[in-house]
Amino acid sequence: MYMKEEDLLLIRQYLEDLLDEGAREAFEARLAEEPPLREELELARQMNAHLSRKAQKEATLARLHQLHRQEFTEPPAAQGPRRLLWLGGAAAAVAAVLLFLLWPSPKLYDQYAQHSPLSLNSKSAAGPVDLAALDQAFNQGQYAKALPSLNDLLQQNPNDSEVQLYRAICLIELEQNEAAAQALQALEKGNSLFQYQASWYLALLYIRQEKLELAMATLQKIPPSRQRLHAKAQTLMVELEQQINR
Amino acid sequence: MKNQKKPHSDHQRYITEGFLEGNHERIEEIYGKFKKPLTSWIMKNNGTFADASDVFQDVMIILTDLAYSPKFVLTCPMGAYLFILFRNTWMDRLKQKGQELKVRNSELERFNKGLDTQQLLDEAQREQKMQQLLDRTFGQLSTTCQQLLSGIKEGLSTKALTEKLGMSQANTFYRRKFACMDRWRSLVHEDPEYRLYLSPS
Repeated sequence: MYMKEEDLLLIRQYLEDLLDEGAREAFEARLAEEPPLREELELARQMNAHLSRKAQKEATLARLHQLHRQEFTEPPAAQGPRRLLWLGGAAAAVAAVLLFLLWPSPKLYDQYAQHSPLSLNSKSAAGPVDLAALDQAFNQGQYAKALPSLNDLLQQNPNDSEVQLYRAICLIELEQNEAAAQALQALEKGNSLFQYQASWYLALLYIRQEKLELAMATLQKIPPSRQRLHAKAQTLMVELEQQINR
Repeated sequence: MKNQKKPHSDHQRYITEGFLEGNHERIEEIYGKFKKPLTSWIMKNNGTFADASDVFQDVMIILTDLAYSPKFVLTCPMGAYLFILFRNTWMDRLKQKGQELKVRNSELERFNKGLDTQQLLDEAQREQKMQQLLDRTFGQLSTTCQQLLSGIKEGLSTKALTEKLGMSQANTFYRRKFACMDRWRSLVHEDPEYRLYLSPS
């Protein structure tokens, strides 16, 4: 598209140190002469580094989030001059807290329920299901339209865990809570790659249902070995803990 | 091809150990050493404790993005660098509020002696935008692609991933891996920010 296939292959081989000396020198000579090739090599380097460091970065951000809360809790001395303001605004604050307590979870749910786009179109032959239309419906938030196609796909292949997960997401979004919980609990018990994604979504479902302690317990199932998801879960747990303690 | 910039000794201590090697005590040290002077500076310059907290958090997120960029090198002491980011972030906030900035310059002079502040800021902004672009476009990949690429980097074996992703053969796995990387690459190219990154004005 932007670069010849053979050049992309060369870049890959160069970065993985798979070129022999002659080919390596020839490639480096081209780099000096061809800015687009240089840019593409640089991008490949950035993408590889980004992937390698992604899990560590997310763990660091989760730690930063906790550390910042600890470090920037308002000191008592700073609260003094504001006391009157606090007292003066007491009625408004009480109202705000009540409002917050009445509807805490949907806000948290919306904040964390960011679905990755569905892309089944290139996955496999799917018989009568129009995968491109299904991807489009899900990615545009038309969950009622996506759900029947996901059901059809599951009938063809009941063990497809990716389809199971996206079906469950549709059910959550359509507020078919019981069916969503059943689907996610089944996925959670299996050993698929989406096992802990299921725990994540189950926790989000519980948050929307205001079952915050259940959500905490579910998030705790996500093991540290699933670094990215674990980091996200840790961050969410900090927020949940604060809501529970309020 | 290699980065020619010479790292300051703080690079190893904070960026390499603290961020890249996950020694979070180093990050706690950043808070321990710099929270007080930076908070105090904001409070002397029209800000509150809450403002200082917000700005400190923004700056730490910028620093995190930079630390994980392969091109980033800390070329000056960490305190000076944080102060540049901190001051710039606070100026932006004041501008948004339509307020004049009447900063006390004695701290600026103390921290930033001999540094090309604007160049450091430009580089920081450019690298941070690239990291955000990579994050954003990675998030646009399908869940399977994200799982597959992350799984490879997390050290899961080809066999384990092939089984977990329900792929019949290792061939399919490799085809999918390259297709996912290619899709990600295309998303980066299609993002208007990428052109700006390549040709900063």
